[in-house]
Amino acid sequence: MLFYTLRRLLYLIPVTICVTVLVASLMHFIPGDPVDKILDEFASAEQRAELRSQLGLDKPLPVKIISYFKGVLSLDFGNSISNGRPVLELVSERALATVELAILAVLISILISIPLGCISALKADTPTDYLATLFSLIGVSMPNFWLGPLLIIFFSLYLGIFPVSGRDGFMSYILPAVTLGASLAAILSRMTRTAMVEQLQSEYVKTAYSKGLSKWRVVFIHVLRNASVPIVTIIGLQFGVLLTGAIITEKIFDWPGLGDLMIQAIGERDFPIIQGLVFIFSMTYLIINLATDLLYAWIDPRIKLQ
Amino acid sequence: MPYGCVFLGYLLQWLSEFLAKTNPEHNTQEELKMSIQPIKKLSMHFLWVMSIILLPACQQCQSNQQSSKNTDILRVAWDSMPKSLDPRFGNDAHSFYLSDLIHCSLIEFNEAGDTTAGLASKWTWTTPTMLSVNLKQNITFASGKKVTAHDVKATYDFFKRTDLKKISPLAGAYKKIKEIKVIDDHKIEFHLSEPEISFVTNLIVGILKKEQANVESLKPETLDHCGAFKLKKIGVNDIHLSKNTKFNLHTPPAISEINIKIVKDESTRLAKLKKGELDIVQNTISLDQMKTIEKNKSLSVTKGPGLNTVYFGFNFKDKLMSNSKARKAIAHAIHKNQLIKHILNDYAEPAHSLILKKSSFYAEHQRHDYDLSVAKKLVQELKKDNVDLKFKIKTSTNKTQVIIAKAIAKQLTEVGFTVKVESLEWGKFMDDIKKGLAQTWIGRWVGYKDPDIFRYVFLSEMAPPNGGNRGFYQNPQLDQLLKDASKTIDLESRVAKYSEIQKIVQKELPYVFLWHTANYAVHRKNVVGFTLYADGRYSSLKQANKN
Repeated sequence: MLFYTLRRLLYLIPVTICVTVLVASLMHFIPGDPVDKILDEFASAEQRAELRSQLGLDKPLPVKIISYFKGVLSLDFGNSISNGRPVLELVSERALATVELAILAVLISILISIPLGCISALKADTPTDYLATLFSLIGVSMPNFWLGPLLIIFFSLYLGIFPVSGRDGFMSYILPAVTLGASLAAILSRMTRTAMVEQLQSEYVKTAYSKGLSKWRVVFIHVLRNASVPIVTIIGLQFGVLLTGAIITEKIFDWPGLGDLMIQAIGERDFPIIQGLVFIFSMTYLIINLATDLLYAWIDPRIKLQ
Repeated sequence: MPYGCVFLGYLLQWLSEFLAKTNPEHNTQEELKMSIQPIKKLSMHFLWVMSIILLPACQQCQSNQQSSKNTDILRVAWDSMPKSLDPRFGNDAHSFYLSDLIHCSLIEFNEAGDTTAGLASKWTWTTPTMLSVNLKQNITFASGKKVTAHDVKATYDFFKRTDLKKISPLAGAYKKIKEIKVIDDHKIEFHLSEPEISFVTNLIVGILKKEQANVESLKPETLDHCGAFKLKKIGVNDIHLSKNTKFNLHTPPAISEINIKIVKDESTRLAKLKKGELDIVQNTISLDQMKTIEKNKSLSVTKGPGLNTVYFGFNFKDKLMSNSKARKAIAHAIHKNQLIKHILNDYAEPAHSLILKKSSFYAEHQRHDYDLSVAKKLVQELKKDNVDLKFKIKTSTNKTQVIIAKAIAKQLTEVGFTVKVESLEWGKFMDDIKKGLAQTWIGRWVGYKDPDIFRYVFLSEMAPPNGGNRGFYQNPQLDQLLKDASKTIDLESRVAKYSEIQKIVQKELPYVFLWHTANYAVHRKNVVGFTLYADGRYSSLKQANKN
């Protein structure tokens, strides 16, 4: 397991490098000059050339990439083109907001989907199951950009319970977390149901009942654990996606997260921020995937990681 | 809300009983009871948990209501963060708006957009290249230090420095400054390398203390302000200002604090206004919402003229658009009044020049009003000459701009053109225009204060990347007039020159001037004293208050 973990950690490096180089190369071809964004049209050609040189934009692409990675080794991700602040500072002031929201969204989706999926599996092909399926369909069909404003209108404006937007106090977390967690809950509940139905047909379940174990113990201690490998996969993948910023939700709820920063950077052609975020996102995603794989081994000791 | 939880708890119990009864597995009452029991327990637990969670929600509600009633704080929404809190670096609109609130500058602008005295009490062009400025006395920074001519010199000298790690984006506006001379503590002279009459309108940089103005990189929290407010706290998505008690340039502000919240989504801005989490939103709510907002009992709408011109631009490098008959046909085919009425809800007035009608430099020599018969006749002539009438209108992804572009395309199709609309991300849109890849586009010039804008927009040398002549229009006669006008100090001569300039522009049609959009603000009814400034600034926050 240790060897497996170390090997996977080593794989992080070439994958992250490849992703960053690819994105840096693509950005080279994006139309729009960041110098135009900074200087207005009164600036002379000499001033433009000088700024381009100061920002290193006149260097060839391979030179830019190499000097970027040299900086990364000393944790220097460069400075923002538009406001001059270090990229790492900008990311660190927003990272916590994204992490908090992602964790809460995943928790909400687990709290809804696991019990719902279990009940749906236990009551398969009954009105309860159909109701749960309907919930899943609705959850998956509702896009964030529709659900978010709907929740604002009902819970913030009409009922006045939650603030409309912003990150200010515990109550401000609920609506954005529910918006993010709703579709994940729908997918997870279906996955839970399918996995549970398959497990409930196993022989060990009959053995457990015949030994006199209660229904709840059999379902939630034994069956759910065996069914949880695909569930953990989905949770892991989705958590990685959420950590890299929920752009639409962050915009609707003015959430000062990394997705918002990325969109801003793309609009302003702020290449250091884009590159820095891509680097961090790819590392995060790979680490989450590794953690998910390690979790399999813990959940099901029969799984051997090689 | 706790009542809602009770209701929800009982609803869950009823639902569980209903589902249990309909389950064919439950044959006896005992089996039914056994299956319902856990769900009943679960729903009661849910009831208690939700009540505990939602109790703080009730407290939050009350706190929200209290903060909306807090009459000492004005909460304003902007759609983006200022690029820089240092007045020497911010060249976007929000940086200027913020600088206007926290710094003092030599020149200010009144509600109509006309130059007025700020820190400068008087300014005179002693020669065409020398501007003499007298400063008001006893004006202080927040620290108590008096503002002198040395501070002004240090602030503007910053733009001439060549040793900076990163040049200021504002440097271009001051490239003609040859030297700044301090005559005494309250008199200063700007010596230019060549005449530039519009230079006065550029004297809007927030003045910094001499000791700070020499430092390249300043932390916003350390800035010493001479404006009406000072920076209290800067967050990721908000800026808090507090009253500068040492402010003595004008009447001290009525409000103690201003919270500027960055709210990027338009629906969210409106929702926050309705709920009372915001007090003022200016110009960043779509005009199609205005009719609904006007009926809202807790909101008021204030409307006023804006210093901007929306135009339909032509690329003179394009074969069709360099044809004057085509441009005239397009001008006559666009029904501006219809577009203003149905898309902009009358929040605009038709434009016939780059500058507003109320400007003393405005002149009207020729109009190309909507006239379908003239437009069709011109198109017929173009068809006889075998001119290809297909073209594209490029626009940004702004919702209203796209609707306007499509409406114009429809109007042009009716007279015989074949038009497609292409909406592009902002960076790509501007890039295409500057590279001459857009045949036509819909654009906007905002916040200009001086008719020298004509030189910036139509002078041949100002073609991209050197300036704003995005249509690559060339006219030697116009070029000479524009250069002469920018150097003319005498007002009467200037007016005459700009009249000639507008005569040529209105005849040649490098643009179809569409309209001047109104400024508007939606605010809570308890906000008083907030008025609109034509260039969109928030100067009236200095006098605004809450009942």
